[in-house]
Amino acid sequence: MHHPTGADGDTRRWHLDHIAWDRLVRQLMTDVDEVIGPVMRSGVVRLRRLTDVGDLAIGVVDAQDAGSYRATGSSMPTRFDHGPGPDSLKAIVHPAETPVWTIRRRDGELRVEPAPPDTTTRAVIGVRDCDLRALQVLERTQTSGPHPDASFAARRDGFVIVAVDCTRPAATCFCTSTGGGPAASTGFDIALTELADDADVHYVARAGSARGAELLDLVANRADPAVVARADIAVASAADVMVRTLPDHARTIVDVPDHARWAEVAERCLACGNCTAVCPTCFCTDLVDEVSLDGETSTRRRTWDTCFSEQYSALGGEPYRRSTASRYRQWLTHKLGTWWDQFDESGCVGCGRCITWCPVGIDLTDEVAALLQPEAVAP
Amino acid sequence: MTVATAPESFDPMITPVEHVVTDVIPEIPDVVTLRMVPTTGDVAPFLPAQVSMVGAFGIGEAAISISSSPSERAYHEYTIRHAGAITSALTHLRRGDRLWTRGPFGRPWDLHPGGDLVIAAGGIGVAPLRSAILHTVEHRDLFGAVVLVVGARTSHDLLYRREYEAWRDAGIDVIATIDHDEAGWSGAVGFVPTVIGDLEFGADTRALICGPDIMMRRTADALVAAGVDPDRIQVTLERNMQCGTGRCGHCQLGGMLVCRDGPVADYPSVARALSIEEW
Amino acid sequence: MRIGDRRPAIDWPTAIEQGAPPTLAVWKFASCDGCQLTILDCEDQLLAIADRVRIAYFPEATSGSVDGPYDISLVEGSITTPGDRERIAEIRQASRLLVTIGACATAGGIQALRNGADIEEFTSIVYAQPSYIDVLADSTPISDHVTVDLELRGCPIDPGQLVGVLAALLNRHLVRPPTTSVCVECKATGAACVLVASATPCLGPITQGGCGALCPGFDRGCYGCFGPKEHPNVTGLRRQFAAIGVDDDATDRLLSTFNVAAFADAEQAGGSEP
Ligand code: SF4
Ligand code: SF4
Ligand code: SF4
Ligand code: SF4
Ligand code: FES
Repeated sequence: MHHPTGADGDTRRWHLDHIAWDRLVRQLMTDVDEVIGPVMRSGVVRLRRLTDVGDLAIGVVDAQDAGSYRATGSSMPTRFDHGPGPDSLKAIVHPAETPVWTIRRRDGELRVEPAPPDTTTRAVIGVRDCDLRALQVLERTQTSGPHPDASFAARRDGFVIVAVDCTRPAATCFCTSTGGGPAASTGFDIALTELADDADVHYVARAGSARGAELLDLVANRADPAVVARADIAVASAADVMVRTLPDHARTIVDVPDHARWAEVAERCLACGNCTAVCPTCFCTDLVDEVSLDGETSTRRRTWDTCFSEQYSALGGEPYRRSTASRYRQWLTHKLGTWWDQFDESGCVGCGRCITWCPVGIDLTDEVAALLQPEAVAP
Repeated sequence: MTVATAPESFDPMITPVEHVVTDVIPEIPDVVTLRMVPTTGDVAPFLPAQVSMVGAFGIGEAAISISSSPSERAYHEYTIRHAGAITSALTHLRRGDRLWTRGPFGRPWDLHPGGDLVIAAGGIGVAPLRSAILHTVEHRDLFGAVVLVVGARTSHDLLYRREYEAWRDAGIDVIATIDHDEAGWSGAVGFVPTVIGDLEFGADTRALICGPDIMMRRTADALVAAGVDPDRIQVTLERNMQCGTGRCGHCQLGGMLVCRDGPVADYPSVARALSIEEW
Repeated sequence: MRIGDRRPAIDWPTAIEQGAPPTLAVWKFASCDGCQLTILDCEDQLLAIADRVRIAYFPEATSGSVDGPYDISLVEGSITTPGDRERIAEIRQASRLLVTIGACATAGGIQALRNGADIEEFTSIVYAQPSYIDVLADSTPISDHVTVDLELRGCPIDPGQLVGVLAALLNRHLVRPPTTSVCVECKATGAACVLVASATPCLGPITQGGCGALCPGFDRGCYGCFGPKEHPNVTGLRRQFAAIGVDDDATDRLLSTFNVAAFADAEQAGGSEP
């Protein structure tokens, strides 16, 4: 059996009962500016800022399917017994709206005031493996080129990440067929396995960084081997329950730009952009300039954009991708195919968010399967 | 322009550089050339086909290629066509107006010395080629035969027509062609690919093409048919650009981020992408 | 499609140099006043620039002379009488830019619910002296009668969007109202999707953004008051509504609240493809 380890093969394990858990969260609250974790809002598990340990969602399980999400209560006071919600680290590290600059005009001259980088430090609790990998994918798009986004880097550097192994993936998850999960693999400070028995919820933890190990030493004791073994089994069995898969050669959908399935999916797709918004790796942004009423100040914001927007491709006011079919094709071929050309990896980590949060339940794994089928020859 | 908080390392793609318009040169209808200089510091060096995001207060930015000579260190020129609201506003700027640039950036034309050169432009596509043309004018001895084929809808749409004479004097074979014959027109008639098809090219010919996607494809095909090595054909791509830093996604063309990997591309690497509708 | 026609962004910043103060006129046709109230709500902000702009109000579009010319005319309300029709033509003549504000002006408004009904029967029921009532058979959007440069959607319009657009126009700057769906704003503001999370019918995916996802932010479905977005796939959403138990009649009612025929016209015009 595969044993998840911390950084550099660190095999130390800690054990956190509910007292140690509270201590960990409180410690984080003193160490960083913001602690963010899963909380319930309008019946959905969201990643939101915590003001108190008690804000975390407790005893919530969810049922996710294409176009459908329901969170319900469970008898166990678990904190992470649900799948990924609509929020990923993207909303924190690459926010929906970011100030870029203010330009003031005086006597015809322009004075630029770049927005200061966001140096807020943040701990994020409950990050899944898909999101750990998505953070790296997203980071590559924003910081690996010749003009890295300093704000992204600053926010990223301010992260303390408390990851969780998935012991009950959502029905929409397919991370294992994209090369990850369900155990937290990389890029965390602390990774937890949640164990629930006899109305008691406790955690086995491993460290992914010196900072994580220090924190754990501060709040928890070492775990005994028996409980570690149980944690490993819980994680290993999660991989078996995933129903959706993405084939290894999914990227070859770029070879069938004229497949009839593109037009067919466009009959269903609303070009609403929910999929790109919830996707933890979709990075596209727009620049919006706004002038003040007195005409003296112009501010630039960067906002999320989506390739499902007609204006996204517009050149001189003329959209290049007019049809919904071409926009859906841009999304899927980019995620799974041309991302490789641009960034040398896939843009999909298998989190399943685009499946759950598509209002009409379009499932990319179904679309890929259909696109990889040779087209039926017209009779 | 003054920058309130000096960034640790100045990146001209991220922090705009204020320029002032020193001249507005009307070209053909709806097209002007803006000549501009930075309000402080030197004119930035650039290579032919490189682009800047040109921005004006309250208007926004558009990606425009620099059309002046790369050896011209006194100013930059940008030829802008009124197409859409941003470029429309830019074409209405006047001498003394302030604006900014982020740039120059992008992959330039490969203008290594030696061999023949064929430069093919469709419509306004001659603007991103002008700095390459001026470069060959200044360094004519570095190349074999140089032929420029410029196509336009009518004779009134031929950009930089007043410069043809100087280019010819420098030893460039300038062939201007219009779509349909006009009274008083003595030049070629027909589309650029057709004109190209009637020419002969040596084995060491290099081609630079700029124009609408379809024109570039047809021209490249005509060149290949005329014996030009496909790997020696370059095209320049135009897509919606917002950031110019490879981070916003808008300029994608298949596996390319045009602002990062282009605008110049070797034709074989983009032939397929250009042939797929709405790709 | 009656609204949601794509028009190029307006070519207004033609005079970047600051000339005489721009003039702004506000006109009212058949409407509930909600949009004008929104303007009044913004008046404090507008007063701050009163020295740089001349504002003229014409609360009753049927009285007084048009005069002008005006740099910008904001027009609220729909065309319901023959007099309206003449009047709007004069206003167009006198205005450099004509901006329609609100669902009445952009789509005919709630009063367009009468379209297709027998207008004489209506008036004889409602009014004691129906012969005084001189109305056109339909309540129609301004764009059915004159060229419109820019539309501000909503019932009522969004105050933030109004101020932003006025700021741009008065300074002869560029405006780019959103063309994407309300869903985009839901996700940007962090609202939970009511359609996915509670099977509440929501018109957000086919409705143009601009409201900041107001209704989903209060856990309610979008009523579509900003009208159809580009390429609204009405049939696709109808299918999903059916899947969550909303029948066709209920969907039709939902589609015809504020923008009346606009969604139906869009559906007729052919789904998601142009
Ligand atoms: S494409 Fe879908 S499944 Fe893949 S990472 Fe994005 S949201 Fe997750
Ligand atoms: S799929 Fe679309 S929105 Fe997402 S990164 Fe690619 S182009 Fe951008
Ligand atoms: S696939 Fe679904 S979520 Fe994405 S744009 Fe289409 S309808 Fe919206
Ligand atoms: S609540 Fe409505 S508008 Fe918001 S994402 Fe869901 S379907 Fe779209
Ligand atoms: S212009 Fe933004 S990625 Fe190229």
